[in-house]
Amino acid sequence: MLSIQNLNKTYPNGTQALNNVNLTIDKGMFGLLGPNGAGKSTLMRTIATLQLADTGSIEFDGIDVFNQPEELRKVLGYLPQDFGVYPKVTAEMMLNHIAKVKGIANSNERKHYVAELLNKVNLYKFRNRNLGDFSGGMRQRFGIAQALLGNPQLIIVDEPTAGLDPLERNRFHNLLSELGENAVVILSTHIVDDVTNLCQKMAIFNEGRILVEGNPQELSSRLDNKVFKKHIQKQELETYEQEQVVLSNYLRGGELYINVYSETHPGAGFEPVNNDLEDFYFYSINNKEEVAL
Amino acid sequence: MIEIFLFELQYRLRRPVTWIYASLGLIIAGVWASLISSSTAEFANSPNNIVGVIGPISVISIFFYAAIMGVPIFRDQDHKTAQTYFTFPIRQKSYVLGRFFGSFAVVTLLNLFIVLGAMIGFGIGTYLDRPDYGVYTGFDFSSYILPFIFLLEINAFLIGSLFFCLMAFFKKMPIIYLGGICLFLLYSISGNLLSDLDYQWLSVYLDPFGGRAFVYVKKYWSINELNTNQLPIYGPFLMNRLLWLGIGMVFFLATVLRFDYKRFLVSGKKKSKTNNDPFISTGVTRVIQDFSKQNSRKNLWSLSKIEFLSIVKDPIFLILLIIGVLVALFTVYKANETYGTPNLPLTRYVVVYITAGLSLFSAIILIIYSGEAVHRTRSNKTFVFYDALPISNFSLYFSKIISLIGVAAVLAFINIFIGVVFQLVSGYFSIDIVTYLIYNYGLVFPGFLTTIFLAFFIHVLVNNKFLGHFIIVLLYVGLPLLVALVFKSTNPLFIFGGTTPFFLSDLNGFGHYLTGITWLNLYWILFTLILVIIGKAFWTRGFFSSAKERLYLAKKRFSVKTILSLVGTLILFIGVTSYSYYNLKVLNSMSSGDALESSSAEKEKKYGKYIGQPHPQVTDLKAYIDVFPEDRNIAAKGEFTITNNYETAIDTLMLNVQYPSEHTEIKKVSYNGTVLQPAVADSAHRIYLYKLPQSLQPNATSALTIEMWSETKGFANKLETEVLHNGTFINNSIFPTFHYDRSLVDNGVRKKYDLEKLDYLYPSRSDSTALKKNLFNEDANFINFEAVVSTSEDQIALAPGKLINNYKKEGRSYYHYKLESQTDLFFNVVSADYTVEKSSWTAPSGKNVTIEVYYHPEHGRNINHMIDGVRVALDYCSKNFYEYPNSVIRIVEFPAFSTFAQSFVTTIPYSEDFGFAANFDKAEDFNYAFRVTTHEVAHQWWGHIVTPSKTSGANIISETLAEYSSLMTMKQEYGENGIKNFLKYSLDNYLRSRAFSFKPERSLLNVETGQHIWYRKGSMVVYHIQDLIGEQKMNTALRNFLMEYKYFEKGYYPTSENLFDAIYQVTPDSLKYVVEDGFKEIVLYENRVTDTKTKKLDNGTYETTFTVNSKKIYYDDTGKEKRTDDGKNLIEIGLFGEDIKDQKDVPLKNPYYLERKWLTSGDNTFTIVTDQKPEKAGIDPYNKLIDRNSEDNLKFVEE
Repeated sequence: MLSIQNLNKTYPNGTQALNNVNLTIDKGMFGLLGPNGAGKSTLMRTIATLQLADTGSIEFDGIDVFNQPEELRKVLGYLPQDFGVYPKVTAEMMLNHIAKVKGIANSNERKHYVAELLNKVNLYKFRNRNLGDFSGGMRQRFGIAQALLGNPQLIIVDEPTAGLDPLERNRFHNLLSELGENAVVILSTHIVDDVTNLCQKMAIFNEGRILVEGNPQELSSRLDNKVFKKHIQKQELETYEQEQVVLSNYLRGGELYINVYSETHPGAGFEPVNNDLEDFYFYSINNKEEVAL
Repeated sequence: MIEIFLFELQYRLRRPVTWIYASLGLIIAGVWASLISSSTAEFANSPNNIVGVIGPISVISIFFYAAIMGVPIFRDQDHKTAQTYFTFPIRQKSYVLGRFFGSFAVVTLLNLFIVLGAMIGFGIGTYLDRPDYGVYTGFDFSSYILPFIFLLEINAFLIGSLFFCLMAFFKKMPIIYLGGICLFLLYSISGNLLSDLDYQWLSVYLDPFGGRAFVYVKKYWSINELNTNQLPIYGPFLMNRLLWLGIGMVFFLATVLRFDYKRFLVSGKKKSKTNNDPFISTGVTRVIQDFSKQNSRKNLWSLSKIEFLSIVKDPIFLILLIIGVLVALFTVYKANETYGTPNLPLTRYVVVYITAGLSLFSAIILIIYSGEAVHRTRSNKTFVFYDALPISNFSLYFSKIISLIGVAAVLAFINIFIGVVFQLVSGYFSIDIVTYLIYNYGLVFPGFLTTIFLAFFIHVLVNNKFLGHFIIVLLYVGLPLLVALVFKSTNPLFIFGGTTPFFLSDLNGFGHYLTGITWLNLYWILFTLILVIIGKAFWTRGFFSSAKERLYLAKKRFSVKTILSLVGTLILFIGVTSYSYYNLKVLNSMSSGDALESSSAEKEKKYGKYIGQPHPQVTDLKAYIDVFPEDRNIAAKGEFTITNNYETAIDTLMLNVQYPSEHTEIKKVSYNGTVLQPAVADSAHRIYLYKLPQSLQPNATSALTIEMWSETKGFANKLETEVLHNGTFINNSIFPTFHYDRSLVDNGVRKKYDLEKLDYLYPSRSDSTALKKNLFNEDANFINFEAVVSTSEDQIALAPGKLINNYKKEGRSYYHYKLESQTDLFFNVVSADYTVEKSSWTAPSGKNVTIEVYYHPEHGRNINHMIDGVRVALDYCSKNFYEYPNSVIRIVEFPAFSTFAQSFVTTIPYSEDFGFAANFDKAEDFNYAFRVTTHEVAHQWWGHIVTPSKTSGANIISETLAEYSSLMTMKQEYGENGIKNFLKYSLDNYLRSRAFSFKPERSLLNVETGQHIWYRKGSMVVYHIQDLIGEQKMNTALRNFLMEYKYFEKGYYPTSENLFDAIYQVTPDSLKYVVEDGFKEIVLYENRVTDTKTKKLDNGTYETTFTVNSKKIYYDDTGKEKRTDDGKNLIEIGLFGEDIKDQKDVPLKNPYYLERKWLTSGDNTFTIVTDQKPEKAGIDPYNKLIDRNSEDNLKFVEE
């Protein structure tokens, strides 16, 4: 469905935001996992017709995104990472307006549809409130509503769960996975759990490059039996970092632990862990060369 | 605090925009200063002119100040740094002060650049060799430093603290705009007030920028004072500066003391709405999306509606509109008057004034909201998802433009609406809705469109709101100035939004002017439409990272459709341009001021040798003039009898074509029956020389026939007021003159073209040949005149003389006039569809004189004042000077392209703006219909019976005496009180105009140019002499003078000296100084009451002791003080009660004591006993003397 080929983008300040990105994404949820500043947003915007690439092409269902942006917009649902609103317009009015431009011409139908949508994102109660008076989470839900409006075939959500409480997050996850049955959904995030929970396919993205692509479980299992953890003292961290491939360090009950990657058992005090996607994620972004696995 | 200050400063200095502002300030000041020129004796770089550059720039700089001072706090909010900033251990005050002074330091830098620019500009001016720009004086540092401190810095502080304060408390950019607009409003209101004698003192307080206060202080400065006085850091100007500095301080302190983090951070949470009704599902979860053309068109309208509503529902829009409406009402209320007397609220006045008042705000609204429309989704960051919605670029772009056009249409409608309301409220019901519609939708609305299109395009392209606004204002104001000043062009094709000129008239309506205006409006609309189409390609959607990318996108967006519409518009534009160009420059011509000057210079070099040479003079003229109002053409045939009044034979005839229309040709010239062909035909200079078949011997006469034809072609960039559809007014210039006169009089310009310097424009009074020349036309002395004029059937054509025949032939009306008296070669022809009012006056000899007024059917309201004026003036002049020599006298209305009346023998053309449309209901208002009429009727004697010689100063015989006669008729009609307002006006006008005296200021005896001298000073001087020596004595002198010089019987014309002698002779020796002072000197009095005290005496009377200080100063012609008089002067002193009102409710002074006393220079103390308790004591209480401060002539009496 969505095919991205040889996408490159360098900003005038020299930052290479996209470095020869190639991706093919089919129907279903696709997770794009990467740290902040990896270029995820650039990629999302580029797919969402909001930005040009220096070279390369994007095609969606026969639509050449760079040359037919207007066509893509008809089937696109896009939730950007950070967006503003018309402060003096109510949620209902704004969604109604967006529904209109998304081609829902019948006003009665539109009204009901918008109401359903508001209910879906749990904003029905606040439909007459000005967007300017929304809290961060409410605003995010409004963003989700506008992205889902219509019958989008390509849904791009950029850091969608930021600012949502756990309840809302679950609600949103359910919504997304429902949509994933009929559309291409790209979920860009730095939260590993989101991907683990929702996606069949994923890619890890860093410094403008796709590091690895595959099924989350499959990717995660590549490190089976190769991740070990150890409880260490704070001052030892530097030494371990020099000697071992330290994937992550974290606190558990105030005690410092490290996870390391090793083909063989790294030695005393280390114990094998039940590795997950997070370990693989850290493994791949630490390992700046091609992930040769 | 220092830290924040330095941070602010560093941040600013590293930002390119700071340096852009600074260089713009430098360039604007530099260019402006280098273009300052002076046609008077004022130095081009006088302190006054330096203020004249820096002052307005400090007003314009409001944009820069807003950008610099308004944003620093805003920036913290906008960049969301505010939250973090306020968690640092910074004291609130340090934060505010640091930010403020940091910004203010940057503004000071900008101001320094402005001053530097002015220095460079004037410096460049000094070193360029441009004699026509006037003379430069040396560099004076204080001329720059004073305006820097007292204008630029104080204004920057005021505006800065206002904006800083508004931003700190309201956090909204539009509020800043509003603050700026309010200041600007005060500035323009105070400017309006300056021209109002009674309220001008208010401008001292109201003007936030100080410029108006300075104008008020310097209003009576002489040229010498303008050249030497620095910015007056005293009196009203200083008061103004301190007042506004204080107001700035209040804003500043309010910000510093009341600024509150918390309030700043918490965005005003309003009561948030929650609907608690349960959701009832309708099950609509799947929808059909329809992206058809039809639907997207519907979306365009719906988007336009949203954009439109988001503009008109904006409170700022409403506030701007309300202010605009108030200004418009203020303007129409204040401006719809002439000489302080209200005009009737005619539609043509109201529509013009309302638009004038509202147009600035309309432009501001359209420009601001063009910017908002472009930036709205960007500034609220909605674009990050909005731009990914399936809305075409076309809809996104044009919905905004359509909404702005809607706003423009609303603004035009509001113009009409408040105009009509104003008329109704004023009790005026002849509302001409067609004029309203044509004016607002045909003339004003197209200007709105071009403004929108340009502003929108610039905002799209510049992509920065402040810079965008600034560039628009620069293009809007700067470009026309540049074209006018640098290229000296008036070509409307080059002046943004320019059209051909027009005037509105009741007689002539919109006349023929709509054609040219419509073409030029079309030209500008198409021009800006091209920009709009190009702009569409540059519309920013989503993110772009470089200009290259933007260009790439733009290229890509040029779809076939876009290219086709662009090409289509371009073709239309080229078509309209070609047609306009063809009309303006091919059919008609347009010359820049420089080209006209250089052509005049060339003409003088070529034909200057003919000045003063013998040429034929006319003794009889029979003119046949056919006016064709429909086509605006005219044919004229003159049968002249000419003679040679010189001592040598004349063998060449020069015909120097004068008629203003450029399509004027000499059809045929025949001399004693022989048709002549020109030996030299210089069409560029409009001079044709003919060799006479037989030379014209001294005192011999010949018959000369000249046939002229003049037509109009297409539309021109000129008013072409000669022949109009209804309201033709031409004069003797339809025939060529027989001699050449120089036309360049400015010595700077003359020097530029290597022409000799002229100290005097006219020959001296001792030049015996000049004494034989008539000031108005040296082609004749007095002639016999007869005219047959024809016009279209529905119009009446008029020329001087008695109507002796009137007939219709071939669908045209013919009128045959013959003049009973003789006239100088000075006649007019007028033609329009008139209503006629007739009256009569009987001369003392029993002769009956018909008085006729020809006027527009709806202008009958004031003709009784005019008829009264004619009758009173005929009576006064006939009784006191000489009997009126003709049996008819006419007042003839002509269209309002100009406001004047002019006296031809028996016929006085009178502008429809000059009394016909005035409202003289209030008795205290100045009835200028009466006064102007008497002035013009008096010219039948002063000008047409006694004609001045062509020498320096002689014009006072015509103008000063007509003014005197008019004042005397007014005194007779309204009493002395009736003229006091007029004298006040004369005094103000004379004193105010001295600064603009064509170099240098002449005495009455030598005056050559300057209406303020021969009308205003002249009337004051002669009125005062009359007051002292008595009206009878004065009139005897004038009668003797008239009898001596009437009708050129003496063989030469009188000079100003002859008039002086006539008056001097009848003046008693003790008062001869008054005549000398008035005619030969420039004298200003400084009279004031210094001390007064009264006490009640035992017998119930009051004894008042008061001291008056009198000073009489003589000035030279540059305004330098020559000496203070130490002699005695006869001056009125008096004691007054409270003002009383006459039966018409006009306030009058109420003298208990009034005497003339010989006052010595300095203090004079008097003790006077009066029956009643005096309220005021005064010296020269009626302001009969020329005194720059007439207010201190009266003082309240203390007990």
